[in-house]
Amino acid sequence: MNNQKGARAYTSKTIASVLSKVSPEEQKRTENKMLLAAKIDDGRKAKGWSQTEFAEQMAKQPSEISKWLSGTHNFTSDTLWDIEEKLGIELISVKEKELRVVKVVEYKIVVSSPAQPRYAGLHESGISKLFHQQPKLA
Amino acid sequence: MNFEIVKLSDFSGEGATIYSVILENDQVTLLDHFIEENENHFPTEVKDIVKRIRTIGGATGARSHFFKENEGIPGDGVCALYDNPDSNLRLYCIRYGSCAVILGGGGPKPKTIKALQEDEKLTAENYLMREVSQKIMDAMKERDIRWSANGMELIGDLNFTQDE
Repeated sequence: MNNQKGARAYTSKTIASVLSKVSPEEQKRTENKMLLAAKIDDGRKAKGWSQTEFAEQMAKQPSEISKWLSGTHNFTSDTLWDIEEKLGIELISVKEKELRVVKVVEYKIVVSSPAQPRYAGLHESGISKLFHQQPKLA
Repeated sequence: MNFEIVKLSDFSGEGATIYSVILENDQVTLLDHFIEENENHFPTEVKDIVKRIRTIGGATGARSHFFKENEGIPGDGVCALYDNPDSNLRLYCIRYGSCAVILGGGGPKPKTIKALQEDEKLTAENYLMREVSQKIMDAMKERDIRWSANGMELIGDLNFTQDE
């Protein structure tokens, strides 16, 4: 036999129907979860730990680790930080240089004509303006 | 048992090649049957399974930690896509490293059982995949089928009939 053909390509309405109900955002979320799990598992292997040893390091049951690595788990940020600490890898990036601090400064400019008394106030004059400005960060 | 291995175009990609099985006298795959049997009762879980299969095929590959391994006999690669203890569905498959997966069927996991042998449907689906795996191993030994150079594709006659 030994022919060079591979398997026949197959599509079906059933599979296409389910896929049509998956939004790009949903698919991306699943992909991110699975990539995160893969990154954690790579970190575990780099440490030379079995899943059981990783569980011991994290003070968790092995079944909990299986769930973490399954690509289905919603991690809390606390758990991710704990994993980062144990594995020495970066999972959440919150470095100061990457933060963009935005300050909102409010200016009030009052323009009045000589005919109008200065004490008319902002609301009475009707020509107050507010400017919102984002200063450049140092 | 006669069957054909087909490549699922909707799922296969750079991560892994995703296959399923069409039994003799049937027109659709075991995966199609799994979806049809369960999408009304467990639509969210079916959708989640489909999303994960697409990610495995397109991005991550069939890494072992995405599966519940050792669901068959030692060395036959029969496993299940990971399912949480509180989830309702189980999908059996055969994993060949991180490069290829053959998806089979499965069904609801009754909450009252601890072993698959206690559930008739899951037992049947599991043993079906064990048989598929055995036939593939036999065909590999006979050199009727082999892996492609990049290890991603099965090459050869993927129609398995009784006289082979």
